Amino acid sequence: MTAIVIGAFIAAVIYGIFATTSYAGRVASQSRFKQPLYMDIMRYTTPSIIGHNFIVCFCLVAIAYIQYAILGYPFSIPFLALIWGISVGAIGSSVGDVHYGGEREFQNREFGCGLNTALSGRIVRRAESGLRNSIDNVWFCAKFGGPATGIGLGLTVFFSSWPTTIWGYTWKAMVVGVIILAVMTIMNRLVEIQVKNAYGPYKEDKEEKEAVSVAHTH
Amino acid sequence: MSDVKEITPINLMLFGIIGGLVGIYLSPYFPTAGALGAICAVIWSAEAVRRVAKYGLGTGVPSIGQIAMGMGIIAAMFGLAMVKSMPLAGPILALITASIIGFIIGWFAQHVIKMKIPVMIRCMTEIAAAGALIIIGFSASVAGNYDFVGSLIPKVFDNGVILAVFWVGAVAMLHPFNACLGPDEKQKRLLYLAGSTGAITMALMGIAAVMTLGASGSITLLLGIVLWLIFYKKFWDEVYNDAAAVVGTGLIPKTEA
Amino acid sequence: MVFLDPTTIIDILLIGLSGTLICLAVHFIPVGGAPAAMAQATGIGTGTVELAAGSGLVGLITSSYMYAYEPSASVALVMAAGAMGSAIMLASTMLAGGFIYAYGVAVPFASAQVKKDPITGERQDIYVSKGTQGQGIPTICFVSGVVGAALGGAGGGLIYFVLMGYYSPLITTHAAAVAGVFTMGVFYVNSVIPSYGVGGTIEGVHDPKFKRVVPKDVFTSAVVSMLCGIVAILIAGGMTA
Repeated sequence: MTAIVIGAFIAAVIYGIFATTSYAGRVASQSRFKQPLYMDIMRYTTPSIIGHNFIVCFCLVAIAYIQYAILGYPFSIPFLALIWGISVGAIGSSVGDVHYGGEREFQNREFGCGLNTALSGRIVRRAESGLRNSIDNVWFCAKFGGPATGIGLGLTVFFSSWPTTIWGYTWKAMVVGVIILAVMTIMNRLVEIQVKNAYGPYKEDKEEKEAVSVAHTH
Repeated sequence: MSDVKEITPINLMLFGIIGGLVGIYLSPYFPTAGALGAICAVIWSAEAVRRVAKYGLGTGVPSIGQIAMGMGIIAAMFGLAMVKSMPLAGPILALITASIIGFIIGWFAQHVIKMKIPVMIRCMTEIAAAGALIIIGFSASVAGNYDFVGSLIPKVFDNGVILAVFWVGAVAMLHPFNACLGPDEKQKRLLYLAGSTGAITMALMGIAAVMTLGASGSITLLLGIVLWLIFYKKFWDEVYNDAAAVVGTGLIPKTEA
Repeated sequence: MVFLDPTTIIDILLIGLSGTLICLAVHFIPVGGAPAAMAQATGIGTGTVELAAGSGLVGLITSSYMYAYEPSASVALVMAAGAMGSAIMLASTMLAGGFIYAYGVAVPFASAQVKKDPITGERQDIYVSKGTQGQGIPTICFVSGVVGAALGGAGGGLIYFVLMGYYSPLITTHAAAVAGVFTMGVFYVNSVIPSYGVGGTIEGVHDPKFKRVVPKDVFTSAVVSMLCGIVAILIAGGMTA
């Protein structure tokens, strides 16, 4: 267990180093826009980046350890940890990031519809009270995007091994997997219907009535 | 884009290939040399990534680092495994194989997928070759030599260190350009950053080498940390030079609005 | 190292096929890249490579587990295990992403590429808000993504199965690591090539882009993967000590 902690700490520090260089590098590469390099962002965010990364690394290595030592997966711990790391990166960037990009990252966007391309880059700098900065935006993102990412990864880790653990290495387990997939598809469909009703169609259309009746019959 | 004098790609390529190969060939006597050679290759590949990614790949810079390592690892395994009778030829064979795979993928990307990037073929070849050298170099610094079946498989593949080589190596390769992306990107700053990322990887390999090789691994670790400090400091010097301003905190200057 | 042996040729072709499956998988997965992350385009808001590799490698874990515990498992079962793992990973991602799109960003799911969803038959174009290319993950994209991930996972399982057949008699206990690493290399090569082909974004099977880019990407991938297959089998030749 100590090894997991030490390893996660080293990984987190290295991650922090990469974070500082990418911030400094990008700002320095855009010097023609005269944006200064803020040292307080460096001081304020780097420790929290390291801290969060430590949690992620620790949990992933713990999952890998359980799978390797207790469940007996054929790959070694680094291999499993790497794969889960790539997965959590993919899930995080497709789930947690979305709100960050779409909702408030300085973008001027109406509630209930997508970001108009024409408004892209129209930066909102003044918030309800004082200046709007990246820390305010991350707040809601972390409260909602983070747990949703966790749900995504948790579902993946759980359901990818649950059928074979219960039903053994047989076709029966595969059928259970297909059922899980079908349930997820139906859930997504229910969310889709609810959201479409909530925000409504944007365009008035001649065929709209007909289209709505078609939708209802299904 | 660049009015300052840059190191030409051909010089960096020679630096990467010669440095990489010399490092790898010295690694049986002095394992740290493998990692030093790999850093040369990292610097070379960062420049190659810079040249190709400037055109905009449509999928982000990281994808090219990943394909590079994918090609590199296949070629490295092939090159090292194939030459049982003449182990000395292994790294060179890996380099050549990687170049061939890279050339084929670059050719297809250019002429079949039609990406319309003039430097695609050349850079893909360079990146793949550098990827193979990075993998062999760092692996050799952990395993103590570059004998595939005898030492690489038990000491690098079996315990999973190869994954760290694969992934941290890919990040070392793609991070410099990804971090320095922008209209005022400068080669010098990028190369220092490449040295810094390479040295971080070297320090990590040092930790792994302490476990596989014992005391001689600690040289890799310490030297990696020292090199990292040097390159990181140089990188920050460049940032202070190039950035519009470096301030503690404050408002965005009025000129922008 | 007999090249003309029919089993060898079949194995090379199988590796080529699995690389092609992975390549095909990328086209099925609805990926919108940065525009999707800003709710400007349909699909999952991240890079194609990340998603394909993330889901495919989860499939690799499940299929390797299957292979390790059921040594007599047929190739179909190993492939199915990989497909299931990948598809579940992508389905969970899309579901959790859908929650964010629905309740965090607040956009209705709609595709701008088709007028009616081929599966539910629902009108899409009236739900596309002004100035965007659709938002969220409609049912067709979800199903397409699940199918795609399953193809990718099956491809990964197939390479692993073929390579284990070659390596495990030669380097008994180390075979899983070597085969796994090689599979990962092939995976990355084959998920980046089609990403370049689609230019970073695609909505799934219903996207007009799908028909346009699939042939050339699949051709490229097949050639490159067969090259990898030849290399893999030559490596096995180098292992006989």
